[in-house]
Amino acid sequence: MNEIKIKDDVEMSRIMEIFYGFERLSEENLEFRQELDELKTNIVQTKLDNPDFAYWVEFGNGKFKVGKGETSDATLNIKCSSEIWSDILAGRKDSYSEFFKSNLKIEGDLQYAVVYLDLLELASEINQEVEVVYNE
Amino acid sequence: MNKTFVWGHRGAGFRDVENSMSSFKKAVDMGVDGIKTEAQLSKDGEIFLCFQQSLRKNGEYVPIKDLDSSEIRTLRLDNNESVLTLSEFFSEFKDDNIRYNFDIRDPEIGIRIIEIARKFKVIDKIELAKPVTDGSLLPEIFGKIREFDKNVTLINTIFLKYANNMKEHLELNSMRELNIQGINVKYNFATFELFKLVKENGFKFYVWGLLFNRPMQKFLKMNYKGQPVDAMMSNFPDRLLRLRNEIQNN
Repeated sequence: MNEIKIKDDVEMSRIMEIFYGFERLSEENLEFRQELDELKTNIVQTKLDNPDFAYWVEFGNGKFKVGKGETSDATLNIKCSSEIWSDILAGRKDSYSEFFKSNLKIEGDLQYAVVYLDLLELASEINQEVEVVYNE
Repeated sequence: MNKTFVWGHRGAGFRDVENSMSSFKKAVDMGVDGIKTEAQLSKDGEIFLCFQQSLRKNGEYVPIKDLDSSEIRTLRLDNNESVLTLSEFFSEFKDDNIRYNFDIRDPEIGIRIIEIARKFKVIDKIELAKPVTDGSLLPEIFGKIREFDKNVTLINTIFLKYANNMKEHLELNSMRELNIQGINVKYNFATFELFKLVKENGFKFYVWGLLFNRPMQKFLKMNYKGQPVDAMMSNFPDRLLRLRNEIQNN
């Protein structure tokens, strides 16, 4: 039982670390911040299951802010299993295919859901380049 | 080298209330080459430019196909403008040197657009496209339309569900048989290999969903045998036009 709990905690920490990384990127990387400047504010509530976990992201108007738990101000809601969401974030699975398989459920303005998913992809791409520079 | 054609998606979709007259005017003032929007058919056969298939009436969502045009005209967009009809749209822009691309969910919508475009003498300026969320095969959506009009420009759009194995879902034979002129691909999946394959088969290559500078620059620089990507679509057409002028003028 404790082993499962520890594994779940590691999985959740890994996901949050990715998003805290994007938050740092929004403060430190001009390209990412400029893209965020162009977008209107949206608040995305993500609820994951197995393990159950919730966090929110506020993006747009120059910001990318992240917090654990639930918010009542969400403009978009995403539901997914932790495993599939991790695979999407790592680029091992494609979010659109998972959406049409009903593995990724989205409520709200689908157009802005697409923007959000594209923004995460952009952040990952920039982050990888930044990491390469830091490691050279 | 030719320049990439710039479509303003829903006008200047993220600079104004999308699919509103002010958004379309803004896009034209920015200098777009064309406007990409969606078309819906009312109960009494009027075409309205609207992404949603249902509109909110008295607190409830009602399919547009179940509403008369007189009912739709009473509804308001977020900026208090009315939902535009195709006739109003053509009346406003028919003298501008722009093209029009309409997502259609049903062949009847396409046929009605053609009838109205003929009336306004803009038939050679319109394109009809399969929506990205439509999983139907090309003959189902375009068969009747091609019978009705032998020349109207038709554009295939790859269903997003098949985004990561597009090559298997291009329907190239149907595209040839129905004389469909181009393929529209979400930018994340628009690889150079796919671009090359589409061009080698004699079709136009469109890329949609462009918001960020990085992918805009990537596709504006992409070319095959000296030919650029044929068209790109954006809710930020001003950004795309600025980058096109910087990149493709040199």
